[in-house]
Amino acid sequence: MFPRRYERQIIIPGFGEKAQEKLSRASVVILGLGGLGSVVSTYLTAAGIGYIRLIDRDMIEESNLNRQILYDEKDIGRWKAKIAEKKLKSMNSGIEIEGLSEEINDSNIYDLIGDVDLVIYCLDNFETRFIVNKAIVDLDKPMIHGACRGFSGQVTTIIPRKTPCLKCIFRENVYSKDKSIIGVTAGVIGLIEATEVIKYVTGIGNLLAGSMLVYDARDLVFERIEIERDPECEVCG
Amino acid sequence: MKVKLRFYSAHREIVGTREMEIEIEEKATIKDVMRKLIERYPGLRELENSTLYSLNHKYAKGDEELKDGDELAIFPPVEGG
Repeated sequence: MFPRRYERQIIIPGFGEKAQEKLSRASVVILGLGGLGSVVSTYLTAAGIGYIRLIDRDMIEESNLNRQILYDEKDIGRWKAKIAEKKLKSMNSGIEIEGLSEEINDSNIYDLIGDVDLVIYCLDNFETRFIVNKAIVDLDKPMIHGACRGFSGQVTTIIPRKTPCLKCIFRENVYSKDKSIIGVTAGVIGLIEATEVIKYVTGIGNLLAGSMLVYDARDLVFERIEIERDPECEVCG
Repeated sequence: MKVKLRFYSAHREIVGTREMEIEIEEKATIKDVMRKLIERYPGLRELENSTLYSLNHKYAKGDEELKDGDELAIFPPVEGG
């Protein structure tokens, strides 16, 4: 019997206690606790994912506050992973949450993601993206990938060796100085990532696997693009 | 022949519109269209090498030849989190 806090999702036709049980047994890691990670972690905590590991190397800065909705003004100068852990634990005491203030590199990534069911990518640079991409392919670990800037964003769900990996799609590193972002864009993209997590874990619906969703809020349009594996991909080919 | 273009993100900002139709030569490729766009919108030049394409809602590499009535979406990789 689940607590009443999950009542309104359990009554969704086709969801039931069976789907809630799957959520409560699931373990995920959220890489990055910025605009995307704030939203993803909040909704997965509320949904009742059993174990959530939070990873971010940074401390909270004032310029984060337009989109990183986990943090308050008084949190400036404190570690994101620790503050996020504390806030999310107070939101749902029935699940396990662990915050780690670590910088991801090509040696620690295997330990950080190796023992969970699913990786959720919420970081902000392509260099780390390719480190994580190689690790999920090596470990055969699914990943929900999101990114955003300005008024636009992209999401895809990667099932290694079944769908394209990031290197199949993005062949080059992109080093952009553009840090522009309006909070609502991170909100929309983060919520789509969290939705993909819930669908993956419960088996409900169809995933964005083999597709990339491109979003532009200026015109409020979404484009779903079919993507294919590159047989010559240096990571998964 | 004519193709329909749709723009997202940084490309949408530079071009200033969500979509347009343009006239192209027979056997023109996606990259030929991109070069034509750069002449009209020089701000696209610095995005040229990282630009992504989708032809009729399917990911495309850029060397594909276009047909009359094709729909081409043009957008950058996004990296922020």
